[in-house]
Amino acid sequence: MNELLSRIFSAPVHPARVWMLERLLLLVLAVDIWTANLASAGRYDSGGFHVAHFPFLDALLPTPSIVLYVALHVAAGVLCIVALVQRTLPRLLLALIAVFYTWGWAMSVLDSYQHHYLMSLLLVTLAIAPRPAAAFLNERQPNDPERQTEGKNAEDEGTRKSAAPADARSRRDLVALGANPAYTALMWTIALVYLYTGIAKFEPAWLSGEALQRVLLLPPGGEPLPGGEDRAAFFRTLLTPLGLRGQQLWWTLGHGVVLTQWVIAAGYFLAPLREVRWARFGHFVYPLAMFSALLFHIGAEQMQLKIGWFSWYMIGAALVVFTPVAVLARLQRCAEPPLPGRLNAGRNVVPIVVLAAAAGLFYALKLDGFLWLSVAVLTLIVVVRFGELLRRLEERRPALRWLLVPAAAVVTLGGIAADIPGALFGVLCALLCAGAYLFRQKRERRSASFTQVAWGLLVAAALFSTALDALDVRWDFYRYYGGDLARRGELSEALEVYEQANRYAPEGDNRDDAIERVQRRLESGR
Amino acid sequence: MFRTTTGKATLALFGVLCIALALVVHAALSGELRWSAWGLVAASIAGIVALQLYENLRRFAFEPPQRASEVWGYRALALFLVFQTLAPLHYYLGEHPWDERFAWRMYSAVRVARCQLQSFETYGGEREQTRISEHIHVAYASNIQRNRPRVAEAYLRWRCEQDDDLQQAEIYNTCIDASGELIEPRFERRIFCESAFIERSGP
Repeated sequence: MNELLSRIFSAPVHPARVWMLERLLLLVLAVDIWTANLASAGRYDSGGFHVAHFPFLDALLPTPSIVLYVALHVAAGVLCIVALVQRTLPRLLLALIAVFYTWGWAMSVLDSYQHHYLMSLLLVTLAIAPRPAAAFLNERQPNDPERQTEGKNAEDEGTRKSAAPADARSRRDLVALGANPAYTALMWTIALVYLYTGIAKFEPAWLSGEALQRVLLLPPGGEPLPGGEDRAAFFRTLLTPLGLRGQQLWWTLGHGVVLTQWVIAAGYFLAPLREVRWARFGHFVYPLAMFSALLFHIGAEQMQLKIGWFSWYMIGAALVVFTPVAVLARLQRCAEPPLPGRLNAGRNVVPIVVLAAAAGLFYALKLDGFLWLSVAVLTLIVVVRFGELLRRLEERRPALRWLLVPAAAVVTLGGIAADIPGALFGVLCALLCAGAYLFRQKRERRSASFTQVAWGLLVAAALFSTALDALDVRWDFYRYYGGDLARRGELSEALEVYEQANRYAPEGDNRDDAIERVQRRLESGR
Repeated sequence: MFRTTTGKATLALFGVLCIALALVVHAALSGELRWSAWGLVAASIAGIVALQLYENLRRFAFEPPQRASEVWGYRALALFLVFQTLAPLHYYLGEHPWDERFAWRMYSAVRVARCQLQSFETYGGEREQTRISEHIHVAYASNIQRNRPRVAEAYLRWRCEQDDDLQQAEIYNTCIDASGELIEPRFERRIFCESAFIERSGP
């Protein structure tokens, strides 16, 4: 059994792929938490009525409230940023992020988004998986494939041959080459999602396209009403030139959705073999899986399905998992400060310039999702690189550790300035957790960089403030909360909350009409 | 790749997949469902994935884990993956077709059913219609609208606790499926506040 498990989880994966996937996940998750989740936090004041996802949680957990919900998510988001700037993702912080995030959705069925459950599964996987030794490519052993000339190994039927170079016999070398147990588990977690999603749609209503018509709010038959919105326009444009119209179009779409899910699932099940030289089959499977994933999720966005950021998580994952590793390796190398005495502008600057140019192009073409993904990767590279620089500086100047104090002060101010109940509590909780992590590292005599943690806190504060402002989170929080209070007849509280909402209203919008209605109700005594 | 036994088997399965896909496409264009062809598609994809995993994983050089923590880490991961594989089966083997949580059923045929929720409350013998969203968040009302018994019954019990004058509270949820057919039986719950007894009918 140990041998079988070792084989499964020892698939050699390029460190750049894992690095990008893990850190991009944490970065996007932090921003997602601070925007989508906090915006709807007002629902957690539901007049004392709550139902948790599992009966035992109703008895075990404290009563959900806005303060608790916001605190958990703010803390999780801050810790995501602190974790991603570290050289290797700290297991303690990952575990805390998993606990806070899972608690956040599990405490009430108000949050039944299944992609939140998926995020929890991914976080738990990262927290429990054994960690390899090498973090950056510069640390890898001389015998790794990255530094070897590419060549074809002869296949030897009936005998075992090493997937690693001939002189890399020890497990330490294999780990340095890129065996990463977390990666296989992450891939198969995502594969299972697609597999079961395909199975869920394997029924007549979906395969005939009837269910899809209903999802897209189209009348039976699937043709939009005159003057009405056609959410299937994207696929109609693609398929009509092939002669598919009417019932044939919808049958094709319904069948296509199931098939696409299973092709993507197959791609993710085989993803751990991406770097294995014998996986020549992958030359066909991986591009097909990436194409299918992009088509499916871009299509979902075009169809305006209200699934939060799920599509973009999956698009990002597909791009990282199925893109040729040379691209990712270049990007990861940009996040590593050059070794002393070696400055390679081509290696360090050109990929960043190309990525920035791509972001500019997406901006010009109004491809917002791809723009944000490019910005996320750029942000990741800059943030990690600077954190690594600080760590090296700290080794020479230990006094830089005191940066932790002003960093903690800045992030605390960020929690206060957020002006959302529970944000300050969440920030303080995150500081406590970061302190616990540093204390544990020091106690177990492991290397821990105070400046990297300080940098993470500063970046978290900056991103948190930017996200709240740029995406009108406070406006959404207060107006949704006010609406719920008004519906439940808590009119005085609703008035107060609506006034708060108006403070953060974007230009051209406000809650004056709603305030007027509430005032009339108060005056009439209803 | 195709010189090995597993390579040849992969090629054969790929051929089966192509034929099965052709049958599926032909059936779809004719407006028919051919389950046997779909079964072949699923089986051939699964077979190709399994063969490739087997062939490539067995070739790795590796050394067994040398620390107990690594062994336990691998076992924990494996158990976690087994849990994830089995957990969604609760839906397919269980008795709650409306509770699609943790089964990766997003926008399923169940989800697109349209339901109309009605609630009534009785005070002093007088029965009046109410709106659930006037008492709890509209998202909870949406949960009840999806025939979630736990949420509905918790709401009824909570209403009785909130209002001593309330004698009886009822919830009725009528749903039609994607093709416009009424879904039977209707979801019905009624609580008698004095005894806290809940009368149940439907899912």
